[in-house]
Amino acid sequence: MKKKLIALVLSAIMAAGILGGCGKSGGGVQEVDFWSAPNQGQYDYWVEKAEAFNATKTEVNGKVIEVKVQQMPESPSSEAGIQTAISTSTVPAVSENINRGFAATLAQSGVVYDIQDEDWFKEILANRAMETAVEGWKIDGKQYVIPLYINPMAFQWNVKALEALGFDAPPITQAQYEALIGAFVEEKDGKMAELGVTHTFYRPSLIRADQWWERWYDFQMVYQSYNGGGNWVDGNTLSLDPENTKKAFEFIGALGNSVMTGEITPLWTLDQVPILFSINAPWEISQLKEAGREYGVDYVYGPTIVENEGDTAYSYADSKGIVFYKHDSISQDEHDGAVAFISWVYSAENSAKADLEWLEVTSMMPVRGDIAENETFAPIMEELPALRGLAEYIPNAIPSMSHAKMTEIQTALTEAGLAPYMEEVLNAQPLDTPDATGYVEAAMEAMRTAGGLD
Amino acid sequence: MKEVIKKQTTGKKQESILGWLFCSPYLAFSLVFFLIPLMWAFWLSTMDWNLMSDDKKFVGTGNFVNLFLDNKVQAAFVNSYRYLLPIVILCFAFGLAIALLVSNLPERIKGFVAVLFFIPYLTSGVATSVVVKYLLAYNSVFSVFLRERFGVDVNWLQDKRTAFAIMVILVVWKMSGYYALFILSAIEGISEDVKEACALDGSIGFHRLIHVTLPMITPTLTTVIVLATGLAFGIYTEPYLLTGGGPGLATTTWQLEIYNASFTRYQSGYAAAMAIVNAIQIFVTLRVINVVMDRFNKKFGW
Repeated sequence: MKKKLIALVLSAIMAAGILGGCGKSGGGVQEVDFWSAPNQGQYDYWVEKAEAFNATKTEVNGKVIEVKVQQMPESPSSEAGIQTAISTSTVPAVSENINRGFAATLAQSGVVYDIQDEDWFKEILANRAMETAVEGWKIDGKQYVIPLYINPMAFQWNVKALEALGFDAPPITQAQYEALIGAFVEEKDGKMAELGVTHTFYRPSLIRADQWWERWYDFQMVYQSYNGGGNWVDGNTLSLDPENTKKAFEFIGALGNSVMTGEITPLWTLDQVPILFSINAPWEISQLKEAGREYGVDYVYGPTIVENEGDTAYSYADSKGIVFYKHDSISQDEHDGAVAFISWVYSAENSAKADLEWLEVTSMMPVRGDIAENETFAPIMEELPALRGLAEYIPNAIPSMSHAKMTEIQTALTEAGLAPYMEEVLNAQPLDTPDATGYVEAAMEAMRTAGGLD
Repeated sequence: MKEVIKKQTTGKKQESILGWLFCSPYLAFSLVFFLIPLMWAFWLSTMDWNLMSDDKKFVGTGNFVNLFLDNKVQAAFVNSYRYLLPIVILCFAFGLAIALLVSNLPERIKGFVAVLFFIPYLTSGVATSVVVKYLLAYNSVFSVFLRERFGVDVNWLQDKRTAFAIMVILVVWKMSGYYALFILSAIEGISEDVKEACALDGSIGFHRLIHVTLPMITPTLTTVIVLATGLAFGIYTEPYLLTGGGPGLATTTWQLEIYNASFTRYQSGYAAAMAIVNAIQIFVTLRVINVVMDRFNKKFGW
């Protein structure tokens, strides 16, 4: 009996020891889990930041904070990975890579902290001069996200093709855009064939409803330009203007069967780029430079098309940020440690250096209001002129909608409107634009149903 | 006498305990990985919940009612049978053809060739899908060759018919070699006596295949048909990576829609309801096929 009792006590001690090892706090150290985006560059960046922070031996609530970084699971999307982590209580204290729409879903579910009134948040805003930029990130009047980077979306034009068609700069107005398509049609078998340019616009995802996020790039940016800003949803009301939605559809419709919907890989580093324009991918700027593609010679960015000269060219801001998760599995100490880490990265003395390193690693613009004036960023802007080109568009770039049913709404737009419209477009000749009225009406109805909108 | 009965009863009890003991790992496995998740899925299917929020709303049968009005679910239901027909027929035909081919090869290379046909089954669906994506890209060597040599310019994955055909081809390519192994082992199991009797009676070649070989392996063929039917309901990787279920839901599947509902639209309760209806459809279809195949087997004395 005695032996049994001893065995039982020993087993209990061992079990407690093993379980205790699973905790994040012990020996005066508080571990803080940070999830980076699922790519090596951003992971390396945050590991370096965490190591530098850990070396400072910062103490919070009497415990030394130790930040541990891992890539968020992309199983099969990073949002799904976070959803699973929350439901299985394995969610980290803090992560990057959160867009405004998913932040709205997280906020509505009550799993992220409202940081609006926190002093440390206000300090970060001041250090990065982002008081204005952060206004566009409000969700139901509150702030849940520290915006990290912004990619203002623009069109990427084939300079050689533009020049061959008699254009020394990308089109800006609707009239110039239509004139360019007309010139392309005329030269399709002539100068365009010589350059190997077979199509006008490259967009393989136009009929894929599952790739709902692509509508930020090929619908939202075009719509906002015609509409003079605005967003899809205000509160719980679908605020898309039907007339300007039709114009956005017909912007692509005007290209007819010259739209390239087949996959091309890689596109802008081919010897002969087979298209006239595509939507930019700022994260490829460094790769293009390495491949010998020169900004202004091989490719150039152009704004979204406006109706009349002098109109503001609004666009979509591909932007993601940092959130702090609120969950029973995250202790107050761990949360406080996460806040200390992020506050340190974006402190007055570190923030400019941190943002510069970010820009060097990712070639994505950090969200800060002083990027044009701050001397820290001058050398890289000189080195990568494409970044200078993009920086112009930041003030007029608008982030995604902040609605918990963003995915359903954007999926419905493709399913009921854009995808069926494209079937007609791809059978039409350029400039013989199919009427999009019926498709827009169907899309509006489908979006209201999908999002439960008024 | 009483003692004998008592001993027998004790022996039976011990056997019974031993039986339960041997079964216990399987029972525990089924409980943890099947029964509890199944019950949880039933509970989840009655909720409007995104797996994240504390706010779980009970909707009763609401999710099931909505399924009937959902065009994606309707497409997944119909597509299951659109996939089933060509996949079962082609897997059966190619499996049989490969098995017959291999069974007639010399003994020393038979195993090696059988493994070659089995390799696609071991290949990751992700890897093959990526290869196919590159193969069918607009600027691939294959596409350029077709355009320049024959003037054929097909957008393979954005045309409803070709996209569907590609999905079927990928699945059949992957699975035929696997099913061929089943059929091959059944063919190899036919005794030499039977083969000699056939030869003496002049039954050779195609005649022997139709009148002797196939009737003798119908239980295996039944297994292959049932497995291929199940396969048609489980397609996910290929459409997920290549078409996203499009164009116009032409290639969508239950698995894809369940995933999209739960992990891109965050409607986990609705996705659970979908999974249950999908399970019922699979169960009913397999039951029908089993009944038909049973009758077929009986006809040949099995």
